[in-house]
Amino acid sequence: MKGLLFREFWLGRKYYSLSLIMFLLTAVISILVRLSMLYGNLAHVSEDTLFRIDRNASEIMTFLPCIVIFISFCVDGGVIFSDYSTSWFKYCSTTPLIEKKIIKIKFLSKGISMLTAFVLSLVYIAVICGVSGNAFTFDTFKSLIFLLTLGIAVSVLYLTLSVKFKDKNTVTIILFGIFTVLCIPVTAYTVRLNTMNIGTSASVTDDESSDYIREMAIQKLGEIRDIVFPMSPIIILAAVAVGYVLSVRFLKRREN
Amino acid sequence: MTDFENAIEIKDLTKVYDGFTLDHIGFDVPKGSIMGFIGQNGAGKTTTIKLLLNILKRDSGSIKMLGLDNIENESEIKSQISAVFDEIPFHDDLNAKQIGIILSDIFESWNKDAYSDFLDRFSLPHRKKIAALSKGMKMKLQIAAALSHGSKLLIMDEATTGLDPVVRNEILDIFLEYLQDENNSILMSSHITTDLEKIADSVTFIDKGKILLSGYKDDVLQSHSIIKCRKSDIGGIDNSDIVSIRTNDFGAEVMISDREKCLRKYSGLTFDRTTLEEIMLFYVRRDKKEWF
Repeated sequence: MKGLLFREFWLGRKYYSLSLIMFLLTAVISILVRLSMLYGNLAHVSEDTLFRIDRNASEIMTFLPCIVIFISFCVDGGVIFSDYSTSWFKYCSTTPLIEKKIIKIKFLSKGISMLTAFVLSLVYIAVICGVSGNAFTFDTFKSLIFLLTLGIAVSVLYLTLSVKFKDKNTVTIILFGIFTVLCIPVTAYTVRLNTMNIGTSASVTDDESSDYIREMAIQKLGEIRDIVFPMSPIIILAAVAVGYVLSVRFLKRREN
Repeated sequence: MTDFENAIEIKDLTKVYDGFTLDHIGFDVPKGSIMGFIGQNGAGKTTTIKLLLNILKRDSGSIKMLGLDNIENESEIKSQISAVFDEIPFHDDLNAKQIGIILSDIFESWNKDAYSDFLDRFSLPHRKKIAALSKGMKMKLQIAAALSHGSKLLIMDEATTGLDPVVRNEILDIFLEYLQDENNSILMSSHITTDLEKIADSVTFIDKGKILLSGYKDDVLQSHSIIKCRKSDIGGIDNSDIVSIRTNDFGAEVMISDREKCLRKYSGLTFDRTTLEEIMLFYVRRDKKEWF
């Protein structure tokens, strides 16, 4: 298992390295913003502006590096597609390596990637808390678990689709399609919020409107996160089990 | 592993595709021998090999490898065989050392020292990326990997195609050395008949999904012959003795399949020795009977 796992990470090393650089860059920017708010230029701006910056910073900047690392670690930079193009899977079918083990290795490597993303996110959040003097809240932990659950589900979906369709473009289109479909209720919800907000006051400004929408969206996201949190183990187990069974079946399908 | 007489036994094997049928084929590869599996492109060589390896579902028939059924005992068989294809199945970004690490995870009987010795013997760099290796070196790397886990049967699918004669010769020498162990066997599919002429013990010709002939190479070469004659002499040769006839401006070449019988029957004609390549050519055109 060691050698095959090594293969997965070695072939994906350039992609993983780039993802880590992206994570580190966004993390450093986020920490610098925090430091600036405490000791730098941002410490001298007016209360009102600071309120605005602080809210933007905590809502977007804080979780941006975590989102970056989880999203990028969901995929593997195309190792699975090169397994097809180099006839690696064909070669495997001439060896004692059975399909279950091949898929197990793929899933295990994704699991390790996701756990790495989780640990890096935890460390980063701890640093942010240390810098800004805020406590590491349970809500923050729940948010990270939410990201981990989402990351594992997307990873499993990506792997299963990759084994099924064997082609990067097809898998990208399907994932993009799923993302687009998921965006429809989010967009509808945002439009509804905007309409309701404008309806409540005739003199509402653009800033006030977007603030309101952001507040409501974050509130809604928090509600979803709170629903998902207790169900995380079940969601992860179910996604892995279904994805594993389907992937083995797709890989096992012999040429007819 | 049970005791077995033939490394491969194929009986009545059938596979029907859209536009191609592998038609009830059967042949044996005796233990300790190398069989050349000859046929033009699209003749059914790769289909047969895929069926052997259970990469492809067969419609009917039976396959035994190393004395075991190739489907029921798939895992046991695959730990004792190696397949080598014309294209290297390892990622360009890996090097020989890393491939050794990976394959040691796949084969329980992986011999790290034997692999390292093969790399040195083939002058293969341990740490150079596959992308930077020549086609010949890539093939040698595949063979080094194939021979480093004690496999009893090597299955080669057009593995020497596209290699220069020097590398091909080196590889053929390796195979001969591998066959020094009488428990080892090779099935080598190729349309480069000169290679097979050098090393094969037996040959099987396949065309359009059917086995044309199968037997010991020397017997096949011995029994076939080419009669070089004038076009007007062709009429004197029985149709049943002829495989096919190649004509040109100066005369005709008639391939016959029973040299002994024909020598007695047509004593006034000139009989030339033939090659596997000529046998393939004449058999492939047997439907036309007369060709140019």
